[in-house]
Amino acid sequence: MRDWLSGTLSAEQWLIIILAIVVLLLFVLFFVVYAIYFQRKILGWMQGRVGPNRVGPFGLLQTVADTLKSLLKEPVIPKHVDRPLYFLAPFVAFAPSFIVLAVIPFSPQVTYTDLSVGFLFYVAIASISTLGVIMGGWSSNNKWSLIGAMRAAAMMISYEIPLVMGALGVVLLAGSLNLNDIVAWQEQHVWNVIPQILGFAVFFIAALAELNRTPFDLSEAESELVAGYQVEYSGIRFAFFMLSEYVYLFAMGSLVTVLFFGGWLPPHPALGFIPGIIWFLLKALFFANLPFWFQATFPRARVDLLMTFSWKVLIPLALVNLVITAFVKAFLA
Amino acid sequence: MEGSMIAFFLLVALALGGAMTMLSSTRALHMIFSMALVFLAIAGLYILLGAEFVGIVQVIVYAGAITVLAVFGIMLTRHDASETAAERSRSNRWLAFVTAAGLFIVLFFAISRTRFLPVAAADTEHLAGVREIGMLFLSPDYIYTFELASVLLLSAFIGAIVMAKGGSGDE
Repeated sequence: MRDWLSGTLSAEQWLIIILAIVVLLLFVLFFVVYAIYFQRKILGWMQGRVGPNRVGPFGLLQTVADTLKSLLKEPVIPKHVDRPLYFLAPFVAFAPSFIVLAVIPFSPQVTYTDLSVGFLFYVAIASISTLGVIMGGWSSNNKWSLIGAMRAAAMMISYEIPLVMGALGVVLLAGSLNLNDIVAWQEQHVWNVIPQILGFAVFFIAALAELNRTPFDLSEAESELVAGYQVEYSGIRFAFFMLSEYVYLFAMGSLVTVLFFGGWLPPHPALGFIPGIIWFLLKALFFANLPFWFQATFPRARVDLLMTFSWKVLIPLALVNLVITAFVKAFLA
Repeated sequence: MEGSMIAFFLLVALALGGAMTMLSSTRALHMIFSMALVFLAIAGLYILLGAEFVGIVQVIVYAGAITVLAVFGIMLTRHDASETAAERSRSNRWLAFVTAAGLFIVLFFAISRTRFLPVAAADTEHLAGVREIGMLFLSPDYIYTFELASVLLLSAFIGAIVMAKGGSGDE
């Protein structure tokens, strides 16, 4: 990357850059289409229903049909919206979700950037999505969407702190914020989930809140807020909000894999003949689909307990984890 | 053209565009989101200069936290969401022009007189990396500044708690 910045870019390099981005985008879109299918199938299975089974074999084309439908739908724009912000919001919400994938090391060969502050980059860029949510909620000029946006913003900001602090133990162990270095450290030692089990618990709970998934889906809360900040959106703009949500699922699954489950590393060196990218995708897809399981299992948390839980339970736990890790690293290792 | 030049001009255009939009818009919320664009573009410039950590912190603190804080501030206070054209009177415009021109002249001379030390592109990583910044903060030169800043933040925290609790009326 850095040498591309200092040199002149040839047409070939431009082509490679654009091609690499397009391949990632296509993969992510494919993931989103089938994540929605799996979500509906898993929910159906856990609730004793069949799930989508009409379009294509096993209903495999259901989401494709749904996507086409929302793309072709007439865009309904309410009269009293704040137009510039209303049009901009879906893109501000979506763009960061795709940009954060740039720092994820998918395998030793497939790495888009090698940023020295990769982990912080993820957190910083992901926080911009909050702006998109607020933008959408405010510009819709609707009380449900405004309440939903305020809830989402408050929750995303307060859960960002335990999210970062939960992962600080990993950073401390590896001595680097670079996600490649963190995987390399795990290659020499053990997967971080073993020494950092407490950090992992805090991180994963905070990640669920960041993703607005059950039990923290208060910003959508379809039974009380209709659909939160997205309520005035329809057609392709609504699709962008949904897209952003599901891309974040994949991104967060990838981040959990990299930080705590050894990234592209196989569970045992003897299984190293299977390429790293396969291991990475297996783990990342597992963690990306885990929230669907939770969605069918947990009720929604109460809004007044939400902030208390973050500030009085998760943050102290993360601090304890951090102090123990620092102590072990300084005196025992 | 070099890749860095393309990136530089794109970021500068974004920053200036954001600043112009901020000045020309009449709704407070539009102004805040234009400022967020400026903050992001400036973070990009930091990263382009090799100060990755500073750039990322700029995104977290300014584009993330400050912007959201400003949005909440506007939503939670009483105000007129937009200002009328009459508030921008002619005399104010002249005053603004003189102030801006004066500031430009001062900055222009200050920047043109400064001698910048040439730094090899490969060294920027070692000048402003996370490790270097951390070591500098804990070195004898900066440890007092660092600790004083922490104390300042702590007092701000305590002040915020006192203000938030003040309404309960049990003092």
